[in-house]
Amino acid sequence: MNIQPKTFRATTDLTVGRATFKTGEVVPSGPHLDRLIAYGFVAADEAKTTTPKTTKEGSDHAG
Amino acid sequence: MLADPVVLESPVITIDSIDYVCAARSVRLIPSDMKADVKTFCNPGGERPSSTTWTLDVELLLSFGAVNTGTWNTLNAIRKLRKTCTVKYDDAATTVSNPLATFDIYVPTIPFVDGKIGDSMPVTITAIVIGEPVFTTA
Repeated sequence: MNIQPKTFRATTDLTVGRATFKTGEVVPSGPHLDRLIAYGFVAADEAKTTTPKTTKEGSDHAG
Repeated sequence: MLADPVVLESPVITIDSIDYVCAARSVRLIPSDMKADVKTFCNPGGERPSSTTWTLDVELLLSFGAVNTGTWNTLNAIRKLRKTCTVKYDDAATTVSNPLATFDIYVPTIPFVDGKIGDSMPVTITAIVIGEPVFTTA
C-alpha cells in the first residue's frame, strides 16, 4: 500500500486550469495531484530524518 | 507593451517521450469551454463558462520502420494506452516566453494506409486531453 505524505510542493511554476502555483508553494490534494506527481512538477516534502548521535570515545591517540 | 507575435517553426511535440516534430506538419492544443445555463428572471439569457475540454490534434506523415523510427510502428505500439504528451511552440528552453504544456491522452489507433497514387500519407491524431494541461514556465 502506498502511503503518501500529506504535503506536496510545486517544483516549478505551474498552472493547472485556473490554479497557479509558484515554486515551493503547497499544492493541495485534488484530482490533478497524481498527474502532477507523475510529471515531476510536484514533489512530497522531504521526510525529516534523524541521524543518530555519534559519540567520540577512545579518541585519545598519542601522537 | 505586449511581446512580439511568435511564429511556429520548430515546435516540440512529444507523445510518450518521442518527439514527432520531424514527422508532423501541424499541431493544435485547443480548449473548448462548456457553457452552464444560469438563466434567471434577472438574467434571462444567462450563460457562463463551466468545464473546459482540451483537444490535441497532430497532423503527421505516415512512415514505417522500427519502433521510435516509423510513425505507424511507434504509435501503433501504444494505441489505446494512456500516455503523456508535451507541446511547446519552440524547442528552446522552457521559460515564461516559451511555456511547456504537459498532459495525458489515450493514444488513438491510427490509419495504416491512407493516400492516393504518388502522395505522402498525412494522418491526424485527435485525442481528448485527460484533465487539463499543466503549463510550466521553467
